[in-house]
Amino acid sequence: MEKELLPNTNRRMIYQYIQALDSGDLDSIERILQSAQRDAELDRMINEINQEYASELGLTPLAQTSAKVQELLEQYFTQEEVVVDTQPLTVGDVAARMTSDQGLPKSHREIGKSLLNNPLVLPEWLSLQAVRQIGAKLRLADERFLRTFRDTALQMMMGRGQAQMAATRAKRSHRKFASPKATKSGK
Amino acid sequence: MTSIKTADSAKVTTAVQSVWQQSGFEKPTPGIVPLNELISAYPIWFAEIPYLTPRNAKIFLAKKMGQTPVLYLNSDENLSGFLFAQQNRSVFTGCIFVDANDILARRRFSAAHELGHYLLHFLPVMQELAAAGEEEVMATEGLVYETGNDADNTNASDAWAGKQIVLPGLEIAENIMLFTEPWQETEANQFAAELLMPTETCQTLIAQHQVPFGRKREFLANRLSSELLVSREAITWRLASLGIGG
Repeated sequence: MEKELLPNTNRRMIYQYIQALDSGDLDSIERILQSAQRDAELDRMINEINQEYASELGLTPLAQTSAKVQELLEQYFTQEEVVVDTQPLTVGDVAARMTSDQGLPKSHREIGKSLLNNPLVLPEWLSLQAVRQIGAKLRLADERFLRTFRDTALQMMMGRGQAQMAATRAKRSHRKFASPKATKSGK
Repeated sequence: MTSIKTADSAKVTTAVQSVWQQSGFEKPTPGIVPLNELISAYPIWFAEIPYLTPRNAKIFLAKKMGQTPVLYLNSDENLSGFLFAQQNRSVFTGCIFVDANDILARRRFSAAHELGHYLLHFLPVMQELAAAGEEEVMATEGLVYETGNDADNTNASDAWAGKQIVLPGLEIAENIMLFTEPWQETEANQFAAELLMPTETCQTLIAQHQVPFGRKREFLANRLSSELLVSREAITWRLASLGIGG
């Protein structure tokens, strides 16, 4: 009977949550859990489902699980496996990305090939004017190519920045797990 | 007693002038403003995405950057504009997305609005944080128009709950959020209006058209909106703010 009383939205969310759990759809799980943060009733229902799932799957008590997770984190993250490219971006780096991008026109990929080993370092302030100047140095006049080149370079710069941030966070997270007694002031 | 901060028109005008200078123009060019050229004077890339939402923006960013951004963007709310900026060494690189399904006039206004936020509101805060030694300086902002009226550009405001400046994230849960304030929205709108409809350009066009059309704002707006690629509402508002027509 209780089912009938649930708001339609919550019923739909619960249904989606169960489906997401079954299919391992992490994005949907994350989205629904986010909604549950703003809805106490939905949060309660999700907790019940989680407990049900845990007992169904014979999962270990939470404390034991977290000890195991901590052990695995220490095992894997001490290796510092995350490799982040911190070198300045060069014309050759961008050309390599463009050459392998099948979504770009063939003519752009061809120009990219001719620049593959070019070590010229790109300026951090990568305006279109700056790229045009580089283009003039390299005798590249195709405006569309230069615009695409600039976009690709900026995307790569941002990607590297994000990778750096992700690595920093992973390390920080590892430190937290590796030394649980460490205080926040030590960050 | 706290005072309510209001939009700073002089600051907006100065910012608009700096955009033209940064792009290598002494003054605004006559006719349609070359918005792409102006945006690309900064380390910002621009894209039009169909069905723009925070989630779609994140997916698109991940695809283009080759790296899933460390951003909590999972809402499916429709956006007209989106701005993301992050620190890369000494520079604040960014991107502006607009919804490809919006009409051209709105897409242009949205892009100019986001550029306004970047210059007026995000850069100063980000620079300050970077100077203080923070390492993960990022900012995002989403633009939703208040009404469903495609042409109503002047009432743009943020309705997206996720609109935020994400300050250096120690952990996702510890991020400090700064919400854009109404005065910041007003400034971003003023910035877009001044950038896309420069005073001199408006005055020149009006001088050309007021003989056949008179100074009736409605007629001038019809004419100028198509000549400047802006909405009729936007140009009407701009003409009023310039004290032209009636």
